[in-house]
Amino acid sequence: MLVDEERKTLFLTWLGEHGSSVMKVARAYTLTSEDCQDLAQEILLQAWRSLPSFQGKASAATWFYRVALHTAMNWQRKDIPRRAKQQPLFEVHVAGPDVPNGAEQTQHRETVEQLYQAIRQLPKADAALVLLYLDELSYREIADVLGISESNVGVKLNRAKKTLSALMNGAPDGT
Amino acid sequence: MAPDELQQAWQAEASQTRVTVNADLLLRQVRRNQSDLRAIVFRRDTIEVVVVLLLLPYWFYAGHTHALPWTWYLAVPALIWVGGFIVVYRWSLHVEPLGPDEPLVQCAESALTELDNQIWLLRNVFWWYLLPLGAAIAAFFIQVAWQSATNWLETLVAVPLVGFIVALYYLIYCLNQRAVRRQLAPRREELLELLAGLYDDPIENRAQSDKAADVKPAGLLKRLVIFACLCFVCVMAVRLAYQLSVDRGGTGYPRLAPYSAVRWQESQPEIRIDGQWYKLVSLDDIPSDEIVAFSKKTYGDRWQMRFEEDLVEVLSRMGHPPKETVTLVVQPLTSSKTQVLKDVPMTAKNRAELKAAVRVREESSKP
Repeated sequence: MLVDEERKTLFLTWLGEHGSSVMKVARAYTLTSEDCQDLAQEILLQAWRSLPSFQGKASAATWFYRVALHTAMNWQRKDIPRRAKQQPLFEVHVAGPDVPNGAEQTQHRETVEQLYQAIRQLPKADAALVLLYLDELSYREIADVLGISESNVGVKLNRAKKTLSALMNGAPDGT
Repeated sequence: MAPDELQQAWQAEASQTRVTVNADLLLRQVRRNQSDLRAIVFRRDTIEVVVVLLLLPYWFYAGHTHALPWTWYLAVPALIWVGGFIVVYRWSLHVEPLGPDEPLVQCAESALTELDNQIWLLRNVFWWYLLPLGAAIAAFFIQVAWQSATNWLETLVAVPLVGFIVALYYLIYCLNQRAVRRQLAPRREELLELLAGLYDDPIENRAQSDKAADVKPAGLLKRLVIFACLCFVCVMAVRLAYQLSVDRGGTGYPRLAPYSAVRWQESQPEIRIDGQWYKLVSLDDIPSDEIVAFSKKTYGDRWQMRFEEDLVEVLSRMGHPPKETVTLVVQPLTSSKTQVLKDVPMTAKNRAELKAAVRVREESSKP
């Protein structure tokens, strides 16, 4: 069993490496920035709680995604969001536009915004597959996160990618 | 745009994002906020079982103190059934919950199983909770109304009481079904949809959906008819038990008395307490005239015998069931001043002596 100090150190290290996946999942499964904050905080709370039961069978990336997706699937918007009752548990820092290749960054940002809009229109399971795919997880890792076979990942991911492309190209229902 | 380009844009955007966490605040928040659905369900179950455990001794105490009829105790097996059912149901279906770091399919299946169990419990609340308790309480009301009434018409006083129970339980039933409809069923649909998108084999998914179709609420009308039938059976059982008791010389009430003998001056009772004779002025603030008048009206020719031997029944049917002790206002035969005798115990010994005295009186009055 990890003592609090070890747990805190490990958690912060992992969060530095995989914290962006928390924000990605939260953003993909919510519509407003307030809800996104609320879900992200819930994911962090769940991750902190689950840390002592981590047995090292999965990688840290897989573990973070499992917790994030499971929490997102169970999350329901609260009438009084968590942020209204407490200080924010985290801060998100995004690099400004004054970096080299600023135009390219802006283009990426627009593409990513479009991606999020498309992902929100996908069924929850397909959204999870697409998120994992975009984060360049292997079929093996995706199968580990979702608990399905690798062959099934291939079949479902192809279908989801087609729907995603259709949505990105403007078909409203992805057909 | 090709999928690989999407990945590139995604990764580029992600590399610009950095999340910093206030770990101390997180730790405090986790410690404060431990209530999730499972904890809420466990807390509710615990409260229900504890309430049952507390109600049981109270039920015996109240029944004994107020000399309530036997139908009062029908709620005891009903309470034990409700508490026992919750414990056994939860225990038999208990599965170690999966943490959120397990694969998504297993988590969703586990959540679906838990949800199905909770839906089953709420949808069937009529059978395991409302019916046993409601029938027991309704039977008690009906018996009290029956025994307090002097004719069939007066028995109808039980109708609003039973109606109140039915209305209250209907409200509880509706609240439970509303929780299923508004909270649990939509969540279940979400989980089924999620699993449908993840299962390798659509047939497996269909099996899950079929399982869902099994969880259907039975008709409300059917439940009301069953409740009415059960109430009718209870009424008949009460009536039969009462008749059998009366036929065997019993009344269904405890055989207790605060005095050991009674004699009469016209319609004025004189009672013997600790070997002393007194005129009875009142009992628990009920004037003796009132008791005698009720006894005459209710029992006709047998009014004296009822007053002497079945005081608990007479007072109960008047709406003033006696406790373990009573307060008597009496007048000694040698004085015009009244005395208040407080906490005079209602004992079976007095009643036995009284009965023996009646027998001696009857023997001596025979030619």
